[in-house]
Amino acid sequence: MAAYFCGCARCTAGAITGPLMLITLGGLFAIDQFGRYRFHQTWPVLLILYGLMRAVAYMMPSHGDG
Amino acid sequence: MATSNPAPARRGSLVAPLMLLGLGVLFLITNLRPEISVWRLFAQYWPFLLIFWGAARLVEYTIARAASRPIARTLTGGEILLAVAICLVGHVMFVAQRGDWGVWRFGDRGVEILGESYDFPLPPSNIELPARSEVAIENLQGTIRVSGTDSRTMRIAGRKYIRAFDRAGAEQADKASGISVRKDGGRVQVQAGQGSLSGSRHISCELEITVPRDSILRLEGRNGDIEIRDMTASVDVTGANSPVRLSNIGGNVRVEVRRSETVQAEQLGSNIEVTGRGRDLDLTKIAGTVTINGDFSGNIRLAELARPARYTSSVTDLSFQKLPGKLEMDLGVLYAVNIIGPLKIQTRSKDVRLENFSKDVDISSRRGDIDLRDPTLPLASIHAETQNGDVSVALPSNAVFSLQAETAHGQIVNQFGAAVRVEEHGRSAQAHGGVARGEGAEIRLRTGRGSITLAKTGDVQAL
Repeated sequence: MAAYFCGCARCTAGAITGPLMLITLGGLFAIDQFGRYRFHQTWPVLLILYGLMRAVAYMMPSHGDG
Repeated sequence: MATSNPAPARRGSLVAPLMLLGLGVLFLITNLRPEISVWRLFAQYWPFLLIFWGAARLVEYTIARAASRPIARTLTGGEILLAVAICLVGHVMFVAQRGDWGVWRFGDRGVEILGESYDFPLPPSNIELPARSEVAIENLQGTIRVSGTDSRTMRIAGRKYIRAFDRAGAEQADKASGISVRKDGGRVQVQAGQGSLSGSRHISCELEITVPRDSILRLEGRNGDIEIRDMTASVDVTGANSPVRLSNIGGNVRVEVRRSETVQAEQLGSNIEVTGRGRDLDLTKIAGTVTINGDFSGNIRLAELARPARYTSSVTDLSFQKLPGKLEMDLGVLYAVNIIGPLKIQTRSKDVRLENFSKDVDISSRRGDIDLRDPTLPLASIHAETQNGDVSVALPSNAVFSLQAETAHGQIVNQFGAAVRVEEHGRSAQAHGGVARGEGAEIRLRTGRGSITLAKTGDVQAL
């Protein structure tokens, strides 16, 4: 394994948090522009997602499936 | 796309360079071919840039993981900054290209103002209306004042306020927005014109509408003050997000609010029904029945209600027959003076104070003191029960009653002397007395924890 990379489930959850947040952010703004909900209404989704990802990362084994 | 990543860098992402590259191409195209509106495209579709970016990072991550190559685990500070910058720029551009420059709004009250306010007079319009016409006013942003007149002409006048960076932008938005008035026999519909006064937060109006007094009014609005007065037929306000003030209305009134700071009504000749959520509620001089159904977190003030009223919220249920005096209620206290029952109050945690009440009273509360004084004679039944709080009743010395009082944890204070017998058992206490049961007014007082006071005031003449 390389120095900066850990394939364990916890690291995976941590690593994909950022990209998922980006996708959600883009999605919320797309809904803001094309859908019926405004961003100022939907932004808590970001908090929920972030909390969820942190919780998942916390619960995953740190040296699990590799 | 991540396959050609050459450096063993920790920030091993291709996305940022790709974006720079794309940005460069974009600028180049705008400079060389100005007729292609890349800005418009960007303003429309920038959120998908973020989605693409996130997806690319996911792909990169999977590939790096399969190849066991090092990769930055999370987004770097710079990338987060870039994402935020894209959101800001993209959103401002989106708002700008939609035609209404100006405010960029984040949250309900936090308004960031980027422009100035310009105002334009609305061309006044006059419409002849037959008797008992229906007038519907829908989705207008801003202050709307409606008043009834004896004339048969409906008149709309007012101003339009537009937030914009400059006058040219404001004038453009002014042309693009308007108020449409449609008349179809005895029906008139006043609406925001196409794509303007309803959706945009940067355009609002201040309308002064006079209608024939006997018109049936229907207001369906979102933001902005609503004021209606001097009408004889029914008034219906729905979806209000803002203060609603009504005065001197002859017909039935229905108000449905979403998050209104205040609902005020006075001098209504008929019934009123208020539903929804809000803060303050103030109803005065209502000749008809009053029905309130919803949660009002501020001060509720009722006065001079001639007919039965009922208030139902998630914590309180209150009903009575008539209120010549007044009733004030907030989250912690309910206070009424000169109120006529049968009165029923069920509440979760409020202190209840009644003064000068008549007919039957039935109060039950989970937490809070109950204080009843100066009932009119002849005395009617009084039931007061709280799980936690003191109960105190002050009666004229010539009141005729049969008493049953009980506290599970506390004492009983009796000022009626030998007529009432108090027994104490450990921490609990009971009292009985007065005339035989079934002869006088029945008084039942009970508290789970707290004292009970039976006080005596001077003689009172029976009414």
